[in-house]
Order: sequence, then C-alpha cells, then structure tokens
Amino acid sequence: MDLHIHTILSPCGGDDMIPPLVLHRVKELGFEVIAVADHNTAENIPAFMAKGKEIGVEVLPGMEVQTREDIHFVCLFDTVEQVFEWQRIVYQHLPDLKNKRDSFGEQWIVDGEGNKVREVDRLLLMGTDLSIEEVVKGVHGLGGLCIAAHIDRKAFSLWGSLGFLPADLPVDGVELTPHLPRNPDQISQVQERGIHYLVSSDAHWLDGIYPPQCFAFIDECSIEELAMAILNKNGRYIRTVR
Amino acid sequence: MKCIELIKILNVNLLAPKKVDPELEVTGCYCGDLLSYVMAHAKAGDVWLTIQTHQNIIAVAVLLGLPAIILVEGNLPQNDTLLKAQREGVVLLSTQDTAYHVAGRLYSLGLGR
Repeated sequence: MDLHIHTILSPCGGDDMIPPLVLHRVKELGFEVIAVADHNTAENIPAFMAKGKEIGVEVLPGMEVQTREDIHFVCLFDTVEQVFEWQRIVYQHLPDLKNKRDSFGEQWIVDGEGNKVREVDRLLLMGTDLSIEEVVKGVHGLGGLCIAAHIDRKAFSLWGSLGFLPADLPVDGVELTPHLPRNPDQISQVQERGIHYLVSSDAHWLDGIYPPQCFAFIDECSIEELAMAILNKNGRYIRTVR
Repeated sequence: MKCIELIKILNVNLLAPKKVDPELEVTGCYCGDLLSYVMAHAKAGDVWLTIQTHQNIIAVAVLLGLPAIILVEGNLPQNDTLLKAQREGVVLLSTQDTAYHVAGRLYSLGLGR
C-alpha cells in the first residue's frame, strides 16, 4: 500500500496525477491500496475512488492537512462523507486567499477519466490555523486516522518543527520516506510508542510513486483494521522493506 | 547579562515562573522556529526568540540549558507549555515585538558579542 499520493489538484502536483494514469501505474506496480491525500482538500477523492473500483485498486479517502505549526498530517478515513466533513472544517480554518497559479501551480478537480472539471480558486498550499492537537482531535472525532507525515524530512514535519514526537499527542502513526536514511532516534521513539511506522511515497508526479515498500496484513481495508495493524494488535501488523 | 535586567530593558511580559532567580545569567541569543534545527544550533545560556508555542519548546530549553524563551509577535503559550515552564523553571516571556527587533535590541546592548 501507499497511503500518501497527491493528485493534479495539489498545486505542486504533476499534470499526470489523474485517476487513469495513477491507478494504472499503481496497479502495474502491484499495489492493492492507496490513499489520495492532497493539501488541505479532498475534492478529487470521488473521481479516484470511482476509477479505483473500475481498475481494482482500493482508494482510501485522505487529506494532507497543514497545521498552525507548519506540520503536515495525513488524515485517513473510511468514507467520502467523512473526508468531506473534514474538508468543511479545514476550509473554515484555511486563510481565504486566491491561488496565484503562476507562482504556486494549478489546482484542478478532475473526473474519473482525468478530464478537467473545475479549478479550485482558493489557495490550498498553506497552513490552517488548527493546532496539531486540534487536527488529531478533529480527525479522531470523525473516526479517522492521523499520521504524522514524512517525519524524516526537515520541512513541514512533526519532528522538524517540534524536535521530537510530543509525548502526549495521540497521533496514530508516523510516515517515513522511501529513499531517506533511517534515523535511529526516530525509530526508537516510534518503537517506544508501540507502533510500526508507515512508508509512503508522498508522490507528486507519476515518477514519484515507488514500488511497494509498506505492507499491511489485515482482514479488510478499513481504518479500524489499519489502526490495529499500526499497533501490531490482534494479529494485524505492518511490514516495510526497511 | 542577568535575566532580570533583560526583562526590565525589553518590552516583555513575564509569563513564568512567578519569580525569576536574580542570579540567572543569559550569555547570548538565538532565533529559530524549527525545533530540530534549534536543538542542533542554539548554545547553552542563549535566550531563545521564537513563534512556536508548543510545550516541546520547554523541553528543548531544558535540554540545551537555555535560561529564557521569548515568544515574539504577540504569540502566547498553550496552557501545558505554561505549566511546563513553571515546573521546569524556564523563564517564559512574551512580547509584541518581532524577533528582529528584540534581537537587534539585545545586540545593541552587547549581548553575545
């Protein structure tokens, strides 16, 4: 599985990140499950889920939200309704600025075949005024999972901004980057929490999707099962290539 | 410079602790908001200027031996940050001024030079 993939809707996402190209690519690489997680928005989730069903790849509805502290979290849900409810909250906390497409990039909503439907006007690539605690609480309140994104990168990460994992933050999991060296301090803090880290591509272009590196051994693809796997509970578990 | 002098000179509010040790010294100043970077570069004795208000700032100050933190541009600590500062004896200050202005003032006073 790869639980962090952007689409053409993210201003920094490539033009090739449309449902047929992404889903055929991940299918060819052997993925069974992906999560679509654009910056502070979920508007392309329905198109990807519909195409995923057709091609035979499970698409989890997700979002990569940016907190007040400039920290990114991948929020994962079971249903489109949940992710759109989360989007409603995030939009309320996102400064209402217009996108400057020449500076930031274009923000396209597409249909299942990748045809451009509408461009999102407001700037998506920026911080909300939600704190990390508010994000985790909000996502849990809707029955979702909250994963600290790419903690092994300096920019926009829980580790980079706050120096280490805050002891009392009930974040469900952490994500590491496929190609970066593993930091022993990070691994030991993750182990102390009794969780297994995820490895996700954070792909913004088709070429950024790596072959599968992260595997969940679960009964079905659901938030409940994933949560158990991250905690290595009830026979569910996560394995990573490294 | 004594920390209590710094509090008098700068346009800051004392948030914690209730009483500052009159002998507490500050020897330099560091500005930064990425805690992982601050952890690697600030020096013991530095007063730290930041906009981060999460309680991890107190842990970083204790770890590095930073006697005081100034939250700049009107930022106020979250509750648990305040409690932790009181518990750990880290001097926590706030100001409406920017880090640029505070650091400039401290530099002109000769701190860390």
